[in-house]
Amino acid sequence: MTPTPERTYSSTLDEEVQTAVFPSGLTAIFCPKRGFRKKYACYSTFYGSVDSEFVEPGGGSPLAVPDGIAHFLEHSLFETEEGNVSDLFSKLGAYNNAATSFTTTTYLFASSERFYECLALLLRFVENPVFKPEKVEKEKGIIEQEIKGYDDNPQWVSYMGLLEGLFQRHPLRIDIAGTAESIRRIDSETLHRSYRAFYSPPNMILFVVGDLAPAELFDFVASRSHFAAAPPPPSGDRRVERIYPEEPRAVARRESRKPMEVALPKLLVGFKEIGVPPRGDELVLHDLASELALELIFGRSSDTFRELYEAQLILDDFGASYGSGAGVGYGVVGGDTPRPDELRDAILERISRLLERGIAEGDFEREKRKFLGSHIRGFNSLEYIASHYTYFRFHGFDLFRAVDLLAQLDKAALEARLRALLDPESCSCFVVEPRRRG
Amino acid sequence: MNEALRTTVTPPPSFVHFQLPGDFRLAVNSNRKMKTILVTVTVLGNLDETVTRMALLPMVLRRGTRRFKDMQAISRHLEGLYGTVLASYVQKVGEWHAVRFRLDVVNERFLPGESGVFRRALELLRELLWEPLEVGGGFEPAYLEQEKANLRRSIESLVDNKAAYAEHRLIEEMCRGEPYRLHEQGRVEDIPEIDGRSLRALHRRWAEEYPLHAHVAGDVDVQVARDLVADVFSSGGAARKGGYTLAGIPAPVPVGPVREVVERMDVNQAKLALGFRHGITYSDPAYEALLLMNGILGGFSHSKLFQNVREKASLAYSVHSGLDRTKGLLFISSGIAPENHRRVVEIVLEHVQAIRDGDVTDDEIQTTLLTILNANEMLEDNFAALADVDFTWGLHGRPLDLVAFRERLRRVGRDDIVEAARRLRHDTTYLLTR
Repeated sequence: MTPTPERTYSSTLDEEVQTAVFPSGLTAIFCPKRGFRKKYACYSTFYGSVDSEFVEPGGGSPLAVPDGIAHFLEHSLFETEEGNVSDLFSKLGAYNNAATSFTTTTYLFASSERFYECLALLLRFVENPVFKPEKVEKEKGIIEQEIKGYDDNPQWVSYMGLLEGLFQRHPLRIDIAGTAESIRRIDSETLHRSYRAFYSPPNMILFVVGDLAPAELFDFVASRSHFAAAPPPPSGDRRVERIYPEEPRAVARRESRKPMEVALPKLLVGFKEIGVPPRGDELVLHDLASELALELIFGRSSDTFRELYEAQLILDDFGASYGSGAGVGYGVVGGDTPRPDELRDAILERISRLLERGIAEGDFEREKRKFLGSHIRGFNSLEYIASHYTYFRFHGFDLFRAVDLLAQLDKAALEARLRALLDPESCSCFVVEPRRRG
Repeated sequence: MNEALRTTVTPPPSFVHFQLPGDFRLAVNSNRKMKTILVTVTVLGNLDETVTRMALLPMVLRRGTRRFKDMQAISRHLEGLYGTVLASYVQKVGEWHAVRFRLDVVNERFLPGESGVFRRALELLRELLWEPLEVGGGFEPAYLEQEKANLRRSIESLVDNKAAYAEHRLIEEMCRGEPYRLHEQGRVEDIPEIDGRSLRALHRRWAEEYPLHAHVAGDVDVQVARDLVADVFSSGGAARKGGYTLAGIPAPVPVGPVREVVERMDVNQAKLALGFRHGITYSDPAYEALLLMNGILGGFSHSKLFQNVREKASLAYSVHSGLDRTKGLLFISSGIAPENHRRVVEIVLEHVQAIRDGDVTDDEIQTTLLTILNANEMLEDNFAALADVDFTWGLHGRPLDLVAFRERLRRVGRDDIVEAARRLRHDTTYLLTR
């Protein structure tokens, strides 16, 4: 039985989505794209690498599972009784992939033909896991190679290294894939228990975008997804309870350095925040204000960028970003630099001046225009629509309302955001330096 | 109920082509899918001793124009134009060197009360290409020196991305007597001698003589877009006259015994890269057979290499094959545990031989055909990629006709695939390891 989808229309974007929440709690969302050949679907669970300690649904004592298990699960779901999922999508001519982040896991495909065969396959493999011990063992070798590949990637090493320096206990400090050591401890039993805890209908969203008939699509999901057809969770039944360690205010390390086979050093300066709102307008406003404010003082049009670029301390890739998840957040500033120590001092020294000076009204107006433009541009891409809409929905927010939130921000709010975020006490640096050849 | 009004399959998008004065080709696509208007401009030259100066050119140009004297002023102008994106980069197309610019502007349809945004963005693009900030007949010296240092760093840090570095080193070794050996960013040793006046002189020739290709795609009227581009690009800036002589498609190069090159670094994962020559280009009758052959060998996750090197033998995290379809080369790249490299080379070569011997199943052909067709159909929604295909095929004298292309693909038989594989000559094996 298909619930009547709720329609949402954005006149800013001239886009529509239709959202159906099944009695089981599964959410299915469709965004019609007339005239497009590509159809794109992603099936996501609000479960990522940070969810490594939890109380299983129904209660019990907390279960701590090895780091990297969400990513390992993602790999494992590709092995089914019918064969490898990528091979099955290939036979249908479709592109497919999957990705694990700190807080979500997503399985996706893109196709122009045989869409419903692909969708059936997506629903089937995500909803019917098989964890054969011999496959689990084989996967460890592949993931270990994947981890080693990342160990040679200076961008990844510096980003993860910075988070490790910022957070003392929070699992954001651990690589999404875990470590060679932690994944060795994964077995089919822990995979099963993690799957049961997090791959449950209320914790999942199916997003489909393309030129499709909505009624046909929703009926198909209703009849083919047993997560859609599942009975509602009994009242009083406890959902999985996630446990995150309490993160102290102080950073783990002020600075870390790592020699690598690189020609040019890299510097990242990070600022940690605890007590970040977990969801809803509050979270999105917090993230949006943080991103805009950082862009205003470190972005390409800022005085800082011009001065540092002309002083040859930064290159084109210099920039700032903000990330948040599971109650904590972090701002990151940096990039490639010939002189990392000098750049670190220059950034820190500027921050106090910038906080004092505040934000110019004209700069803020331009930044808002830029945000509006890039928001509209994003809707050219089916992948962008699906991934962003899903991410925000998991966090209790409708992406179509982003422009409304923008109107709630003012210069003073951004200045307050900067003062809270750029606290020298919550700062850590990570430097990748060229290894000296001997 | 609007569901009865399902769109019927419309013909694939195409570009309307115009010839503007001075070897200036403009192609316009009008579609209802895009929320932005995309403009790409490519200035094409030969890959030769100018390589480093050409690579430096867009870096210096984006530093400042007569009107917007520094990057900050340009960035602020772009932000005011609703975050218009303006990017530049250099690229190798076979043995041609392309300097490319991409402009992406939000369509005014989504900006109530706004007008002239697209024109203003086009004007900025023209200024960036043709109206640089000048001091005493040369480029602004401070900008030039800073960008020379940046280019040096950028070339030196190619090594930071190990997979791309391995592929670059393979090409350098394999094509050591040919223009193709040159990296699109040029050579460090050329940098010191570049000065502002001679670079500006080269820029003038580049602006006036080198062939220029522009593509526009978006919800625009074709004629209106053509007239706007013609108008904006004819006022100010360069007096286009054309006359540059582009080299032809590179001739095939004979292959001797296989060369092996090993380079050592302290890496966790070794990178293996194998280079082959086949001499098949976009305009070759065997082109579609080459695409299928590459797909069966290593283009996808169902391909022989991925299935046998990664899935069955667990020897690699990544393994894939890719093509240069102007120079006529095939590359196989793999990230492996250092101790496995001999075994991986063996398996890779076994599977190349298998295709030559006709060991290709109907299932492999069918799956690869479907995958390529599907990807090609999805291209119809990706106008940046379509503009690229129109540009590249056009250089090889082939019009962008996706229907005819798909038809030719469907007609490729097993013998054609085997024949394409038999044209592969293994030239060089490169290994980056500890």
